[in-house]
Amino acid sequence: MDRARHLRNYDLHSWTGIALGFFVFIVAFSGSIALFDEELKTWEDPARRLAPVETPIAIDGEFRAFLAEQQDEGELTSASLKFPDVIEPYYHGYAFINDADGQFHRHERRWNPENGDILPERGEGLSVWLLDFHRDLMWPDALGGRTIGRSLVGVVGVILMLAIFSGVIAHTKIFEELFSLRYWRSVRLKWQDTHKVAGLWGLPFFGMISATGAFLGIIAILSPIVAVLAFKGDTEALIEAVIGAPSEPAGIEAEMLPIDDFRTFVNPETGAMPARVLISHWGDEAATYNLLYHEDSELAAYDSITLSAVSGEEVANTQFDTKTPANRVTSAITPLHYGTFGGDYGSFSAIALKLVYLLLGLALAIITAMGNMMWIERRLHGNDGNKSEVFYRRLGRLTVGVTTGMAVGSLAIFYLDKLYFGAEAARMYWTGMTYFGAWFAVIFFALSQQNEYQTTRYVLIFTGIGLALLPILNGVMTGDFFWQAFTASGDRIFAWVDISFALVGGLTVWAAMSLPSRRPERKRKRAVAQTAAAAVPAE
Amino acid sequence: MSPIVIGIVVVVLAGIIAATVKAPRLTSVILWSLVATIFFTAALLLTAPGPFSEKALWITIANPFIWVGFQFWCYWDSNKWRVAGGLILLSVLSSIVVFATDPVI
Repeated sequence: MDRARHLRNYDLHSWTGIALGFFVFIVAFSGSIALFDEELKTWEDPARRLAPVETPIAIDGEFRAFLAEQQDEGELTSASLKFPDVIEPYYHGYAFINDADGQFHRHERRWNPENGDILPERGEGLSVWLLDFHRDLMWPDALGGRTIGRSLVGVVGVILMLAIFSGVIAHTKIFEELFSLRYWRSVRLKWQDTHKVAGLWGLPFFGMISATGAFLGIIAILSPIVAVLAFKGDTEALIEAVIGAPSEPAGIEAEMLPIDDFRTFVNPETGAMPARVLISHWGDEAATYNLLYHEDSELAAYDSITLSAVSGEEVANTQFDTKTPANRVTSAITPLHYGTFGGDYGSFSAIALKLVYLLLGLALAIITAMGNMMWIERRLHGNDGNKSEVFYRRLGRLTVGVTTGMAVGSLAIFYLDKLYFGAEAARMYWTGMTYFGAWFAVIFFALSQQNEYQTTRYVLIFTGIGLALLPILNGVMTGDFFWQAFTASGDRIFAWVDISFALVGGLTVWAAMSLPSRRPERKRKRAVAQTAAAAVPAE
Repeated sequence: MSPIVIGIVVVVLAGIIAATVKAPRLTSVILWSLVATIFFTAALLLTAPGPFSEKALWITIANPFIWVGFQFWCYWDSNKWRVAGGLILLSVLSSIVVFATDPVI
């Protein structure tokens, strides 16, 4: 590659990192935490900390009553029931309603699998925020709604793909750089080597996560655009042409088979039990129960069997049964992106895979932040750049504030979750306010400090201590201390979450204490002194 | 169309033209690569042979790669005007295909 092209490619890599590095960091960091949204649900809500039940109580009566109650509001378009499992040990029903004004509503209810009691309602907050902030940035309706947010996250995927591609092209000695870590040299070299080594070793994962993220994100905006161009704006026609026409109701009332009859409907191909059932046309002769099974033999989100809800016979479902090559690829994208293909749901291997994803996701966030810091370091202590020192120092402090502040913002909403005392309907609002409040507070703190190294240490130590104390707060507020979970027969997922907090908190404090409190100048001065000495002509 | 809307459109178009003339690579990587991707994939969807649903899924999967490919070309090519011109030309040709072809429904 000629020098001009190499420089252009390097410019592209820097440009994508500097212009959108923060954005990539935000999506990567939030995604790392979002991996565990299901595991966090029982930690979040003490009412859901139930002992796994081998044979859950029949729920058909309660579920029918729930659907009937919702139908008073409008037309029931569909419903679903999730069966108890290891991670979420309770029944979880949904009803989707279209009211007289054409407004769409979603209602949900949870039942204790031991006695069928309704579990207390709790407003959405922590786990939903963590997942949705990653998926669509919780983009406000006033600015175009979640579709815009999701598309922006998709654009981050595209930018990351571009940064990865240009980064790989920029490296002319990839195999040498894979094993080159010069920790005893200058700050710049240390960061540069870490950026390269972590980036190159994690390349397959980073490539996969950016491509699948780009697909999941930009499909939200791409479908309407293609619909406008190719289908004259008819998005429904486009969806129908791609995944097949939805089934139509027969218009004849019919009695539904008890849903409990299907809880143990074993998938003849895999021997698995259904995880949930999707219900279409409830109360109609054409009603179906679409049984979804966690897929553990193929890279796909779910395996499914569709049965008539009237006769129990298997019926065709073009939307789920079609398995063309393109279908297989698209259905592999979500499990690949969220790391849900690690074996039986809730098993050790499944959790282990998520932990690998967590480490690689955090590595991606750190690589991005490090890329920014390297860019600034080159300009502050090198020959690059034409802006003032003040500008680069402020940019450095902003980078520290944005990156460490996001960790504090995420931590703050765990505390809010346990200390919140307001109305449940406003829980999500206060979750958002706390998240951004804590984040911006750290940004202002970082901007007000002179020494970015010291700021990073302080904020990370604060975050680590905060994380390590979360199990105590959880125990005090809910009465469930994690060590008690292993001597009782109740839910243990929350206890593992608590233990993880304590471990990660301790590791964060240790890592923060290991960081330098100021920019190491000694070696640089020595190098300068040596250079100066070498420059003195020998007499 | 109201004069205000016409005014906004004119200002936006003038801005895009000015940006393209001043910084063809940067404008191409931000804007023209996206426009070309949208029109090119829509044209591909309407004209490529094969069952529609399968084709639509493959093109959707390929979409981010096509976009990144165009973006990368913006900095790979030594001639900055070839990049901008190529992407604009591809967008125009693809849009002709899109608007000249009967809708799928």
